[in-house]
Amino acid sequence: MKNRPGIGVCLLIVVGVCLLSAWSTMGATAKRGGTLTVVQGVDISHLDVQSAPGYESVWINMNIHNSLLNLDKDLNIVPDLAKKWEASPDGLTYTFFLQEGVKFHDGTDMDAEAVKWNFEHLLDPKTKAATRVFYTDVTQVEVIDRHTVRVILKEPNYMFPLIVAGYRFGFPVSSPTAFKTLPEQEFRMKPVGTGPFKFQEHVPNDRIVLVRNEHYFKPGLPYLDKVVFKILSDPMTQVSALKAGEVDMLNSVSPELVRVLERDRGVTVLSGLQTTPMVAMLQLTRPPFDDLRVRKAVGCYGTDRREIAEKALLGLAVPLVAMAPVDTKGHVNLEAMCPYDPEKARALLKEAGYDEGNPLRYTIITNNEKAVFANIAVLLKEQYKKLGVETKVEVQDKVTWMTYMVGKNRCQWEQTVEDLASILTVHHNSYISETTAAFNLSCHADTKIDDLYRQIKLAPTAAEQYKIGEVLQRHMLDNMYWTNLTTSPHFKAIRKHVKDFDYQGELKFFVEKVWLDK
Amino acid sequence: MLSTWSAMRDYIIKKLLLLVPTVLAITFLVFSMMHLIPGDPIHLLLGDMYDQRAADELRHEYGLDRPLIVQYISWLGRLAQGDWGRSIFTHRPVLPDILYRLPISLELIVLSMVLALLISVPAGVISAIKPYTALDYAVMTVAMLGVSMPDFFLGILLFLLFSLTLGWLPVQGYVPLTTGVLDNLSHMVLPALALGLARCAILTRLVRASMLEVVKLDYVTTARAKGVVEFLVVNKHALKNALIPTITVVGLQIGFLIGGAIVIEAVFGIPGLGTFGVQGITKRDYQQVQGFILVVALLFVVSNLLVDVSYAYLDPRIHYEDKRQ
Repeated sequence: MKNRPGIGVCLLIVVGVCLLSAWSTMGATAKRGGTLTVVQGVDISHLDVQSAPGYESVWINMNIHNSLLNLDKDLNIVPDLAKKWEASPDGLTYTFFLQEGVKFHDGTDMDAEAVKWNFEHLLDPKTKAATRVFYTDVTQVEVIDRHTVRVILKEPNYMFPLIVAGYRFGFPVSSPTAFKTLPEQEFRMKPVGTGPFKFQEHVPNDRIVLVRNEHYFKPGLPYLDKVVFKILSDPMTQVSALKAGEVDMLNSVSPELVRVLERDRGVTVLSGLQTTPMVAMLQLTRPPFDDLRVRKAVGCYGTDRREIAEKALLGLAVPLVAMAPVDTKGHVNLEAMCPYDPEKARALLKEAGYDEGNPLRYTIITNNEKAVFANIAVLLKEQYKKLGVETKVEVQDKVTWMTYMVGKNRCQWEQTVEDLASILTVHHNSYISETTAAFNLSCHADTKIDDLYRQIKLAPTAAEQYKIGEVLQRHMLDNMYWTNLTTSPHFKAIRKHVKDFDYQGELKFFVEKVWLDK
Repeated sequence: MLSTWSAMRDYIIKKLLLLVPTVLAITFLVFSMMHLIPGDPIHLLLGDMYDQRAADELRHEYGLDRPLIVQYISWLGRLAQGDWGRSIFTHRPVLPDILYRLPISLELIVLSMVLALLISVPAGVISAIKPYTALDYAVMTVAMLGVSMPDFFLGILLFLLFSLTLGWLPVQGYVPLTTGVLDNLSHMVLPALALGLARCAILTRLVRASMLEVVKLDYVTTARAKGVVEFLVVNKHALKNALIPTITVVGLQIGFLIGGAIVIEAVFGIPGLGTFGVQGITKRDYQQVQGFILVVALLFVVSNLLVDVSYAYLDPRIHYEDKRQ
């Protein structure tokens, strides 16, 4: 028989590949233990799961609590504390079947009574729950048995499962016993949930420490012993600490630092879901933007969104005309409605009475929360200059800026640049764009918007909801009630040894499956 | 001797009594200014979920709906009972937070001042005894660089070199002294250097200028004529007198150090009093700002008192008059 060296070599390669594959699989096996250090730019005010302001508090709370339902990384609804749920065909009743044997961190049972109490607690105005506005349809919560809860609504709301799964936090369930027995301040600072991690300590302006919940109801999870949320306000220090390996993750990275981090071999920059809008809202209750022609000229045809995405956001954002960002459920591409057309903008301004002899003059206000806001405002100023519009840019601190957005002084400005909250669906934006919303920035009074939002929740299928959502977004744009510029991309950065972290933009932040390969 | 000490004691008591109206005036001024600048903490607290009813309730809860003078008097009244108020945002009592942070900031300030003095005094003396030489010009050039460079920029340069490039020291964080002295110092040395080097530059120039004046005085010439060795002439006779203006500036620099610490603490992620104050001001957390200002004012006034007292030690010709005699 002839010697066949070729076959031998092939066999060797196959065996090598198999061994390599086996080795890499072994390497991918999740390991128990370790501390994950996550950097956040600002400290938390408190950790009351219903009212704590800011994403930083929400992200920490997501790892201390479970929601009734949740979202996977593709934003599909998945079970969490409710192992399944049923909706009545008329959209008026939702029944949640709870996981059994789940305990809160204080050792008490998570059962139907606890979920009922959480609904009542959320709906109590004294709680000042951030998501209360989404639950105003709830009229009754019934305990069917120890592990079944029924929620009855006053009118159909087919968005309800999505609200429970992912509007802001979703529906976090916390211990009624803790609320009733702990002093108010302690309950606010030491949340008691059912989540993978238990609250351990908060050292103001330094760190928040969570430790592993040994009795977590999901088998084998979490892998980490401890999660430390380290407060580092200086972006340069954040980046250096990550590069030096002193921390494992940056929870929010400014666009201008993305390229710096991408050059580091030990670091991965995560991005993807674009569910946050960058707005340049126009105030339509007072001159000059009470005139639709002026709004169209400036906010629609006179704004070069592509240039803003490229220059101010370094090509990391997507130009955005429609109200809902590109990865929000129900987004439609409405770019054709607002192409960059300076000629048309100039013509509209002339028609409205503004020309070289009588130029349009106004102030763009923004705040210093993110450096990019001021960059965008300056870029807009330059773009508008080409239309013959003279603007002044005023950068205020966040508290001063807020006095113009809510309360007695609201609607007392002309244009403002900011990025707003991340939204899961078109309907999710109702709380800041309905006529009655406190944060209805443009101060429009068009009740057709309210009606369209209502129609969305009354529509039984996603296709119908999207269709009405499109009508709503077109109506918004036709009237320039909402002026988007681009998406506001959200970046996180992790060291390579951080495994199985699912990036979910600003909407969710979970580390229950995360493990450290070191 | 006894009368000297009793005069000193009276002087200190008088200064301490003066401290009360001074600190009160500062807190009143800051309180008024904080309320005059635009911004409402309740707006920030409620954010995009703002609701007029909830806002009114919160304003009432924190007493922000009362006239300003009533708010200030009420704060003073509570302060007299040891209640420094609660933060609007965290609901945490202000005093424990200050007591936790104060030693951290004090450690940073003391370390940076010690570093500054350790470098500036010898550098200033060497520069003065070898004036207009290459060494003098070199020291003065470095001092000029130190004065011109902002603290935060120096801080970033320091951690880029010592932490990222050389890997000798951590980039950020704070470890309490009780956990480990070495660990604590490894975290504090870069912030202290960043904060201290600018002070060091100012003090070097000052020590040099004072020394140049003092070494020309008759008593120094006499000491030299009597054959006292040069080392003793410089360090025992000249330096002690030359340090008087330096000590004055050290006292005044405490205020600048607190200001510098605010930035340095942010750059190095140190949970000190500076970040506490900045956070209070940016969020208009009035109670937090009042607590911060009270401590800073006290630190400033007390450090200046210590400076005054130290004059008597450094120059026996300075004494505090006993008017009863």
